[in-house]
Amino acid sequence: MYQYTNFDRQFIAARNTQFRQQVARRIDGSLTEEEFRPLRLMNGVYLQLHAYMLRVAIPYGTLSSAQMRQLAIIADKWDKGYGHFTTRQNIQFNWPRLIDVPDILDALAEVDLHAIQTSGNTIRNITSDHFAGATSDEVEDPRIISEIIRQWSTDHPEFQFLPRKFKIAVTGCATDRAVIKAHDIGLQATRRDGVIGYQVFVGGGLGRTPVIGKLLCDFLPKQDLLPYLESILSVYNTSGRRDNKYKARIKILVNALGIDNFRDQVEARFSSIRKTFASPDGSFIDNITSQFSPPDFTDRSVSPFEESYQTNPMFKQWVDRNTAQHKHEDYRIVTVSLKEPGQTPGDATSEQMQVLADLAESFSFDELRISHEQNIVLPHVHKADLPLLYNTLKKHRLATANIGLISDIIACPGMDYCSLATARSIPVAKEISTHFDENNMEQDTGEVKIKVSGCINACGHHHVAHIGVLGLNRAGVENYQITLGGDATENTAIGDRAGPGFSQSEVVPAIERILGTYHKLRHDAEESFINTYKRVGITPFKSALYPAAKQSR
Amino acid sequence: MTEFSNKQIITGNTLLSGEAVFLSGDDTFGPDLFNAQIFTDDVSANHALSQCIERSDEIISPYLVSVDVQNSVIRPQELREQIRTAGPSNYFHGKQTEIR
Repeated sequence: MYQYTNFDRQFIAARNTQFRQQVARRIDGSLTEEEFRPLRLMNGVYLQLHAYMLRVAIPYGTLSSAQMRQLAIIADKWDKGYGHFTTRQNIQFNWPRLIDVPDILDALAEVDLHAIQTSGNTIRNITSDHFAGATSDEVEDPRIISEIIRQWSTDHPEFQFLPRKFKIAVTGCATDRAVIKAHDIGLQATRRDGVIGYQVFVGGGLGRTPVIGKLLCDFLPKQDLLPYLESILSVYNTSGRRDNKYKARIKILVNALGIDNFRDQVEARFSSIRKTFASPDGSFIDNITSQFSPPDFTDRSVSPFEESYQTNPMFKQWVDRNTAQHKHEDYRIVTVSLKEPGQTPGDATSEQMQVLADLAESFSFDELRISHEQNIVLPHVHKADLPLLYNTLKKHRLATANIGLISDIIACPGMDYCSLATARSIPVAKEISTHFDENNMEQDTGEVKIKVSGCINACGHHHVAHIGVLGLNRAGVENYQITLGGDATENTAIGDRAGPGFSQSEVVPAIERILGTYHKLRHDAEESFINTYKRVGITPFKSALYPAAKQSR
Repeated sequence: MTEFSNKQIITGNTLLSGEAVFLSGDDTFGPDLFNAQIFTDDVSANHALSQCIERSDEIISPYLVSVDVQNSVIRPQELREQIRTAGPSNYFHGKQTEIR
């Protein structure tokens, strides 16, 4: 993992001191709310329905045990004993008091964490593949360039007041677990003639205008990465719209100019800045790279694992569902589900955070990852340790074997917390997960990605869900639109809107009809929901969703 | 039985804690909805709101909320405001833990 330098620590400390003074000046009346609001947002402090909310960046989703423990301590000391992991690999605390935030930020700084650029029209937390450094199909650990981009983008003087927020995601392999084409910039490491470079996608995004990112550059050499990113941001900063916040994201500019014209402008800017741009030199990159070196994997017998796998069906089910192939054959990547049916997706109690920190320290080389799907990953677990790990997780309600299944739902906080939301997300997610768990439909149905957003801003990623649920307000009543056929993988697709929305109580029956249709139409249990949908299209699902409309035709 | 047909209250969030609070008849902001002052005409409601906006050292972004009143119980008309006055529905947190 990357270790903060003195420069990093001094920068965070200076920012924290500055913000402490800004809070004091707001409280003593020297700053008005209008003046203070952008300052608090630059430091991740929002005002939500019930209280302030503090959003803490987890760079490229990577945490150490010490960092996770500190998050648990913060949850206990200044919040209500839990935290909410988000779809952009951040954690949000829902109940901090403004007067406590400076102390919370100092506590975060003790473990090299901060909340800078988790809000505002600037470059946000760089997100990445939560299997980085562990998966077998990687061209390069994506955290290396994620960290380089983090350093370049943090407090970048030119990009603190962009037309709108800006999100960058990185994957190190062809398999996309970071939804890169739904980001303003998506980067994918690739190899050409033995040399590592990057495919660059631009103008992707969800929200009210969902767009799949377009290929801007097929192979960007590593040494050109930062000046090229700087060129993209520079063109956007200059030409992006500032007159209408709904048309201010880079996707609108790319669509308006056309990708070829946009590319020409980026290339022109790139040509002019490349020679003078102070790119990080080889030793700097080597230093960052070395900090993401693989841990020292050990050779031990895996017989404890094999014995449990043969004799304990619950353990076997959990292994098959929640662990993935690791690049070392004796290890597995473990995904710990934060989606126990009936619970709030992405929430972890302070006790669970402490347990996960202990487990990471004992069994995963001190590393944890936060996935954009709101689960926790222990990236390097020796198979021999899996039985003990599983039993410990079970004691703390963390052993739900549902990764990729119906109840592994992404859900934004929705109108239970968020001041922008138009409907609640969490109760809908809880009802769906509880219903299908009680009806034992999950295992037989197999992989289905359900994602719930509480407003058009789409923090719940509903556009790229196999079954997306979008909560809206229709004449003062919550109403939920369903989209079908979205895909968050390398085959990125925006879901098709099925038709008129449903009341909250109608959502579970509607999903039941969708899944019933899938069960009827699939070739066999091997054909997944999304593959069946791609084969048969939306029509039979619409007929099932709206039987009265079918009869009237 | 409904006592009034066009009623509003003033709400905002406190500067120090961010807690949702309501303007009461003694001109203070407090966390209890049942103490909220009910305005029955737009003129007096907007006049009171403009005075509250001046109190930005205490209250952030005050605004008017339409409510129903039944048997002296105040209930915001919009779900968003009902959630603000009660707390989130996923945990027993917020004002619902303090209802007296």
